Amino acid sequence: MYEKYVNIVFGFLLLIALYVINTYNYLLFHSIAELVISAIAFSVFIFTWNARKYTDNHFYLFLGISFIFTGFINLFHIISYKGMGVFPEHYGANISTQLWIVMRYVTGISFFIAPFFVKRKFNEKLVVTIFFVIISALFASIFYWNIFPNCYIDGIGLTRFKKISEYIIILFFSGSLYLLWKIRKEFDLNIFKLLILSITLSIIAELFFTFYANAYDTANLLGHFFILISFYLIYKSILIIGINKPHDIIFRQLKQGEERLKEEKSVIAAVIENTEAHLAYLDSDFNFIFVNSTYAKMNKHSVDWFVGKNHFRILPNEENEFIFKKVRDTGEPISFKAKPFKFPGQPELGVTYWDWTLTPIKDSAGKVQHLVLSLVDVTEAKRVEEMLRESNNFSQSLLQTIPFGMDIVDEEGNILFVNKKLEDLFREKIIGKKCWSVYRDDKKQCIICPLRKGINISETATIEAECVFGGKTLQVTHTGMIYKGKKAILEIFEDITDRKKVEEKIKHLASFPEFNPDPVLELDLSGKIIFYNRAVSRVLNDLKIKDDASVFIPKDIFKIIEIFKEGKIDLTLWEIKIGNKYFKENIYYTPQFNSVRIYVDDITQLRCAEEELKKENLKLLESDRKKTEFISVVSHDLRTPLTSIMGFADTLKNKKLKLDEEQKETFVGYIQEESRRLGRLISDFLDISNIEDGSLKIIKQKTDINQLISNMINMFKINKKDIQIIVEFESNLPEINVDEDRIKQVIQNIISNAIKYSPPESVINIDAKKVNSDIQVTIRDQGVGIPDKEKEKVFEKHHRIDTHISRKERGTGLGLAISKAIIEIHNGRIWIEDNLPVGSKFIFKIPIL
Amino acid sequence: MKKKKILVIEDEKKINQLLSINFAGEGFQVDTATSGEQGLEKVDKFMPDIVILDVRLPLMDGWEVCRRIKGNHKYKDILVVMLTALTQKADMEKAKVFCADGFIGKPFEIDDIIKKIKDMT
Repeated sequence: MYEKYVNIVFGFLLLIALYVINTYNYLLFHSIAELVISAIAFSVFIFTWNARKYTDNHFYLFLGISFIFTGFINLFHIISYKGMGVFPEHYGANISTQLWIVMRYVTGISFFIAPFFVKRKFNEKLVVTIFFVIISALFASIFYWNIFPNCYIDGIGLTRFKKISEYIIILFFSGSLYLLWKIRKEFDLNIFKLLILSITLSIIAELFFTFYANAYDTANLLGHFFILISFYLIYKSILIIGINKPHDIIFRQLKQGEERLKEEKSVIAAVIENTEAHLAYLDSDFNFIFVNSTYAKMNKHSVDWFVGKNHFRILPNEENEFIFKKVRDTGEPISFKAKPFKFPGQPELGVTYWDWTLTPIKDSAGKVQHLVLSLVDVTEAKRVEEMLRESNNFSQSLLQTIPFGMDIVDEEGNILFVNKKLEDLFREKIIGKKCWSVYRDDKKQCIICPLRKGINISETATIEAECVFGGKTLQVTHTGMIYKGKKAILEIFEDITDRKKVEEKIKHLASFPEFNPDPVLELDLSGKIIFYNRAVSRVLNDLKIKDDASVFIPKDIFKIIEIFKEGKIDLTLWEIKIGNKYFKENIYYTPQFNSVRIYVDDITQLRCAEEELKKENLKLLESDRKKTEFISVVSHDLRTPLTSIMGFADTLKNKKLKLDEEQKETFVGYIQEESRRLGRLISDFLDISNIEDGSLKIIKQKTDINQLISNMINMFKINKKDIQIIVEFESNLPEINVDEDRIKQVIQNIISNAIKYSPPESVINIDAKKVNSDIQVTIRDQGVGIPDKEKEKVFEKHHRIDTHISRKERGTGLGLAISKAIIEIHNGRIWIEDNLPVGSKFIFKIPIL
Repeated sequence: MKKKKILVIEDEKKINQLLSINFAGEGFQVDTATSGEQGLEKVDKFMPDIVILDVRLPLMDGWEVCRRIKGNHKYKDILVVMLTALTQKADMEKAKVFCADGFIGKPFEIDDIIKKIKDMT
């Protein structure tokens, strides 16, 4: 305290003394003031330079080095001052001002740079050299080269350069203030205050120096005062405090280290308290000095409870006590992994496992004074490990016993694991080899190997491949997996040799349809052909259909497939006709192959026989029908005349009726007429019957057709309708070989028909002529004519055209049928044409000899 | 007693004549027709008690004539006897369907037919 006041009083006295000197002689004042400044600067240098080994803070060292140079510059400033007379007079105040500016620049810039060295060290010799070079260059620019800008011109005053420079220097000081403020924690508070004050005073001093008019005025004086105080404060901060409280600077780092140590201690304490490890600190008699809370909790007591108690009193264990003693006596630390331990009195815990370390702490004499016990409960880990081992054993035995070959291959193709089954398959050691060297005979395998693409664990894609190793066919399934922490492929080899053989056999059996002599086709469920055997081609070839097997598909195949899909049936029979051939088709649904199979059977022969049979049957049916009809017609036709005959005979006999002679004669005539008709009918029926069973007898003889017609025509010349019959003969007609009576019968039938259907007094023409090698007879009438559709049918038995012709004019209905048969027996032909403008032409021709 | 009237419709004139003479001899008043159309005309004019009707007639056959007679309320009291050689079952059935009252097959004995008609009347 006292010392401080002395310093302040001394300082004031100095300033007052200087002021007094100033009023007496400014030069003297200036010289003393500046000398004091230089002295302080040198002192700072000396202190910092010598203290540099003890301090890590090079902030002061840098300032110190800069100060020795500023001190020297300042000395030159003193002696070059105007009126000192050391330098030639013409320099005036300029040279001194220039030196002053140089000094202030150096000081300002140094203050600006120094904060960067608070935490950094520099090579002091290099810094001194740099300072020396720069300062020398500046001196040379003033004294030798004369290029340093003018700072003061007599009569004008301070130059613009000088003033601007002061401002720049102020900026440097301000920058220094800012930088120091940022790192203020690195300084002792008192030192920091002095530094800030010192720099601030320097800034104020600079301001004064910017506006002094001459080297002797008040502004100049005040500037010097402030500079002096500023330097004093630097001196104070470094020199005075540095001497009085040297450890504050030198041991500042040490203090900081201590603080860090404290911090670390608390961190360690926290760690000790919160660690999983059970920690105990024991003395050499194994009494607890300290336990952490984990340790205390384990033993169900408080931390304090343990202090002073003996470890083996609490947890008696001879083996452990022996170990403890050994560590204490040898001084060698010991540690165990998963050492089993049973808590006395706590049987429910069972055996627990501990990783533990016992570390002896020795004193300076090498004697063990304390022991640190660290325990980690690994019971759970042990249990998990145990389980893992079990499960591993289980999987190992599983892998070894499953009936598949298995290996695990890593990304480089190294075989990491092989089970027994696979080893048996290879009959050699393959573990550790490269997979491709072992499986080299399987090219396919390597192509699809997932190793080529890289293993993808997230993808559980399984790739199957078949490969052949030494006569065995194996199916390989790859699965990406992690094995011992690395990506790997699990390969499962399944021996499918036997299966393959069976498959081959099935394939062989399946090839049978190919050789099936009957066509076999397979369709997919859209009705498209996916297979057909060679029999299909052969049949197509036979049918001359150009290889379009689809002809075998029934038109309704889509319906059939639909029905199949419904699942109600799986087989259907179908029949199709291709060309002139018939095929029966067994259509099978094979859902396991999603297909439909058609087995084709050629049933043409069967079908033809059947058709033949049907036709025959129809014929029989028809002939039966016709016979029945014939019988009914015959019976009717016979009964009608019979009724008349019988009826009139009865009538004639009936005396009651009292018939006159004329009536009797008429009725007798009726009986005769009907009897004849009956006779005709019977002979016609006989004829037709003979014709139908092929027993119609004809007796051929050479016949002149003209003669024949002439002989028979007379019987028709006189008729009830007065129809004129005109015969036209062609002369010299050759003879024909015919049954005369039968041909007469034909002509008679035709003419009687013609008369029947012709109007009264019309004309019937008959002519015979030679046409080519035939004799052709034509009978023309002027009757009602026959429609075209009937022209054939009139030759059928009992065919009649609906007409108004009354029944009495009807014949037997057999005449034309008999006529046709007769002509055909003679190898001739009979037909009808229209007789224009009205009537019909009946024409028949018979070959000449 | 009033004479029973018989109409014979039959295209075979000989049969017509045969039946006319014999029924007249039995005391019936007889008329004849040779076609279906003519027969129907005569049914209307003559109003017979009995019609002997041949099945086989040209153009309009006997069944059609029968149907027309039986279909007309005016002729409800007229008995129709069908006459045919077609003595087949089908004809008998047909006769029933067309509501014919009797059936005479050809050939017939005159005595039989007279007896049958007499029984009916």
